[in-house]
Amino acid sequence: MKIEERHEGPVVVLSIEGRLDHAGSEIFDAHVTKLIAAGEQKLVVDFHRVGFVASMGIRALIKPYQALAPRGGKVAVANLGDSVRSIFQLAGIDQAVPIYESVDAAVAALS
Amino acid sequence: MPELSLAMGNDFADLGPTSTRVRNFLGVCNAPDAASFLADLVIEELVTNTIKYGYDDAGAHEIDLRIAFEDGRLLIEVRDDGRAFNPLEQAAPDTTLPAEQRDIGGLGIHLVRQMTDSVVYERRDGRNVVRAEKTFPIG
Repeated sequence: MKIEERHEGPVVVLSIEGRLDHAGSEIFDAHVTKLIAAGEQKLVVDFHRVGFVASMGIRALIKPYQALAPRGGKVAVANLGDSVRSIFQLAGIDQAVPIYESVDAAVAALS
Repeated sequence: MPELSLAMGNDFADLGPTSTRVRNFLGVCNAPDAASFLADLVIEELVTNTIKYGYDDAGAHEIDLRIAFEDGRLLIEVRDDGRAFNPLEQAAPDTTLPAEQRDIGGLGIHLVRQMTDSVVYERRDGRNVVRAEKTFPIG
């Protein structure tokens, strides 16, 4: 799991590469927990280079949503492949963590 | 039916190499990407549950996997010697609840059930056996 981080105005864009399985989700969770502790409120996660997501990965996205929503923060995802998208939809989290076709669209929506 | 049998330990570190072997096997079978994804998901979710909750001791155990693919039909079997546990009896999570109130327990097996055609559990010779199947369109 590799995570690249960049800032676009008030939004932090995390481009992740690898698998959001048990091991990958722990790395992602630790990274995001630090960002939130540092005061970041708007996160966009780019799934372009993610070929696999398990339930642990869904948990790792709901957790920051639950932390940020009460203070007006947001989490969104972009560039989902078909299989990954169906996991999001079956888990029913696309209402809380909206899906965008591109990082630009997600950043624009959160800015 | 071409088949891959392999054994892994009750160790999260074994999941990555296991996934690679399963994906390689399904690649050789010319299985669609969706079949590889599903095999990965089923193994990840069932084995994670077993490693986390399945054992009364901290010792090493073997988890046996069998994956077969032919004519679009994918079969995955996971066998462990943990305590008797039928994951299909777990309550499904309420995926309609607002995410603020969401309890994530049971999501893994919910995903497995939703994405496969059938999942069957049996306790056989002192082992848990879970078998999942899905047929993909050939084309």
